[in-house]
Amino acid sequence: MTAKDVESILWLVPIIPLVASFINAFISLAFLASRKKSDLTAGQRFARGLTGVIGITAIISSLTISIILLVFLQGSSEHLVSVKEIFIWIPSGDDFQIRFGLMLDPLTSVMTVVVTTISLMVHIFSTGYMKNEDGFHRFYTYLPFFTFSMLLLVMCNNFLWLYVGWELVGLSSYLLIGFWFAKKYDWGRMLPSSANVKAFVVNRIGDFGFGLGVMWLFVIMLPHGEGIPLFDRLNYENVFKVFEEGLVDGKVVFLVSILLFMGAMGKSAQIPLHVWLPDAMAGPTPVSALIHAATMVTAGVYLVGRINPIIVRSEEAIAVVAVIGILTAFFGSTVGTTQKDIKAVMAYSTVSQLGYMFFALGVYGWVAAFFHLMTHAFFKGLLFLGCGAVIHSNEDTIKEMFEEIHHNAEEWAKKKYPDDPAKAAEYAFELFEAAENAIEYGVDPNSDDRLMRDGLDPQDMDYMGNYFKQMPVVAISMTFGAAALAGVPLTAGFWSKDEILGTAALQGQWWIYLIGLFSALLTAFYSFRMIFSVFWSGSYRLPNALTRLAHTGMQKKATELGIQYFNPREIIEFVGGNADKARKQVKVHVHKPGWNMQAPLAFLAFMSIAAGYVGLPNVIFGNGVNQIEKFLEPTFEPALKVMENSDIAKQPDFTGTLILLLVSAVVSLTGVGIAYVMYHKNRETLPERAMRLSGPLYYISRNKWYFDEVYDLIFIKGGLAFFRFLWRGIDVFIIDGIVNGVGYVTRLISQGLRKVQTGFVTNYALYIALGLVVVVAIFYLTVGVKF
Amino acid sequence: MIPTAWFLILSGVLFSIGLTGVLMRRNVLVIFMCVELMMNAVNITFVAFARSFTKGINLAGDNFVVFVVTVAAAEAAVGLAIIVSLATKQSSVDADSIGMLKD
Repeated sequence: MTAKDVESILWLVPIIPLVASFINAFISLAFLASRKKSDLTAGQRFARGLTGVIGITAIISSLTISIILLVFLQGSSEHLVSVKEIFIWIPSGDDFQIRFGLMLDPLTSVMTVVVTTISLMVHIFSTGYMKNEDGFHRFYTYLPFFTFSMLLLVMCNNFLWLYVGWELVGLSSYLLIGFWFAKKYDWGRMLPSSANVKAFVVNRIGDFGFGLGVMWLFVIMLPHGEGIPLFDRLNYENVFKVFEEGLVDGKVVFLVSILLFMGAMGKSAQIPLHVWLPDAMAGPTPVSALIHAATMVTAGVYLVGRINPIIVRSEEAIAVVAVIGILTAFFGSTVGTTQKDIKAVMAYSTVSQLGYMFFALGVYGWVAAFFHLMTHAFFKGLLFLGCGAVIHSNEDTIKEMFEEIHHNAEEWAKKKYPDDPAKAAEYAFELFEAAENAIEYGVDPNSDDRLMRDGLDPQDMDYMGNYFKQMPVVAISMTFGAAALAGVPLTAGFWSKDEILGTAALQGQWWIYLIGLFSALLTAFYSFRMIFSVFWSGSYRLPNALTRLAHTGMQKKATELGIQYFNPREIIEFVGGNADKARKQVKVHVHKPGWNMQAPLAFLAFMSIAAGYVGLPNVIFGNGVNQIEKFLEPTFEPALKVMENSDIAKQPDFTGTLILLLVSAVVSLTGVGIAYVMYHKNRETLPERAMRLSGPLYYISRNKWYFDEVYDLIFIKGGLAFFRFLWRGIDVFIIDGIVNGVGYVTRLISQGLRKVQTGFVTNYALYIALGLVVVVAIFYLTVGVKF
Repeated sequence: MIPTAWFLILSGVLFSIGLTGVLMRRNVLVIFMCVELMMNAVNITFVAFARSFTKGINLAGDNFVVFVVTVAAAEAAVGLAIIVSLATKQSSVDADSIGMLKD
């Protein structure tokens, strides 16, 4: 295979998912528009399933080509294949032509493989997760479209197209977060229809900087593009050449880097623009896995890595990246420790891990950041999909319980009022609704019992436990994933996270190293807190909690209705009072995920271990072991060259690296150990006591450092007050005052003047005569008369 | 030669009489005649200045007088027609009773 062949197939990688998306959009619009699943005919069901098959096929093709390209790059001496012109966008005039080109270099290659792999896993997983959704085909229209956007983002060779890809992933993210746009209630979480707007708006703040950065680059390139078409000057190689020749002032380098980094902060959810990511969990869980954990949110890391020839020239910009990164890593890990919503834990964990990648970039650990990006994509994708399986089964259980109650309530009512069927039906319906409301909204808003107050949230870890018995594949895969996240020795996360911390220590950034280490401890703790409390410890608590809620709700309703001899037990045969008995005798069971949900989990679990072995530290295991470093080096050559000429480049030594490895191992195992003691051995007592001991710290962490509240106060309330001032003060009072004042004064004057218009000819003649006298007088006074 | 000032004084007196008539009199017919008087006062100034300022033959001022007389004749025709139609419509030619311009 030669570079020529690569050039000819390169465009297929992003285009295939786009075509699949269009085909699915056509199928959806032509055959399946706004139909409920239950209303579909056999043919339509086939078309619905076909959309999934088309999506998966497209991603498999993309993945295959990506792997072929990766293999080619590894075996080839060339490190950059660039196709300058695939088509021309907006052809007008000689100069105003935006060429669409693609390129392949090691960084792009790694990103395409990671994106398509995770995307494929999510596509397969979703055939199970979304199988009962009315919008199945819509989902399979958006997913390949996202994959296309992401591939465009990482494969284009031009800052302008990078911006296009950047916005397209934003759009896909918006569509997918709002997938359940009709949802009216989500147990106190932000609704999808608001969460997607929030994500879009917060990203816009970052993109504002990013856009300015690209425009500034364009301005910088204007005097340096002799003979290069106008927009081709924004090609990476042209831009980087100008920066590498040192033609740009240091301050400009800093500002451009920071502006571009603003975009990265928005997309990669770094403090202070992280607030959208946790709310983006309102989307379906596979979406969270694909977009908000493994791929799109790493676009910021990709961007900073891509502009390494620029940003490496400004130590201040690099320092900003490091500080933002470490702050975010610390913030995310502290918040993740106390969240009860299983997806919130994962969301803050993602925020925190992205922080790790950024501070890796901030201590010149270019390869380390992307190594962690890759391993993180695998294990965080896995963890999210696993959470999806758990939530899916919980929701199914709740749904089944609703059906059970509904059925039994009708039976009961018929028995109770055999001669009045209308009344019976009415009571049955009222009771059913009471039970449903109790589970969704809680029973008593003033109750001390959280369950009674808030209802039962299927994502709340407090009501989970011992899922291992019901879904062993999910449990074991998740444990591997969490081990990788925690950095347990020999997993992928261990190697990648250690390389990041090691680079920080090597650079002598001890504060960053120590905070990173502490965050790693918290990470190990919260990831295993989740694993223990969901999969391994306690008992299956969901039916018990459900029954208690439904009982109380129905009892209350019965008292209101004045129904006598009411016994909720008769209605809820779902669980016969205690959970153990229930599991044996009644229909309740955890919904086991099918093979299409388990296979991706198993594969990703394998990758969570295996992916680490392409990046073992050279110093310990001999030169050349670190495949990924060797592979990615050409991309970061400009940066490495700059570093060699300064005193930044440092070589790790054997003992130092070994000590750091051991420290990392001890720290992560300590975290796991604490989680084991607190959430496996003493789940009923210790967490409660720890909460009381930590006092205000707990509440700061539980309430996410009050970021949302502060933003609400400053930007929402403050903004409203400011704009109200602009409205009432400036607009209504001053602007309208001037305009209306002019009109008022004119009217006053004209009201006086209209009296002059009498209509009598003599009066007009008088005015003319008086006017004559005045004119003559003025003439006499100014010019004078000489005889 | 009679000084130009005399002509101008005569013209001024005639003009003032005309103006006073226009402003004071009520009968539209009289007002109309006063306007004619004012116009002829102006004609006198034209002729007077033409006489005093031109050396040799220059009939610019005299020509103006001919034009003014022509226009006055046309105006008289139109004006009298208006007065006649007023008289038939309102059976009065009193200027104070004509306020139609207001509407």
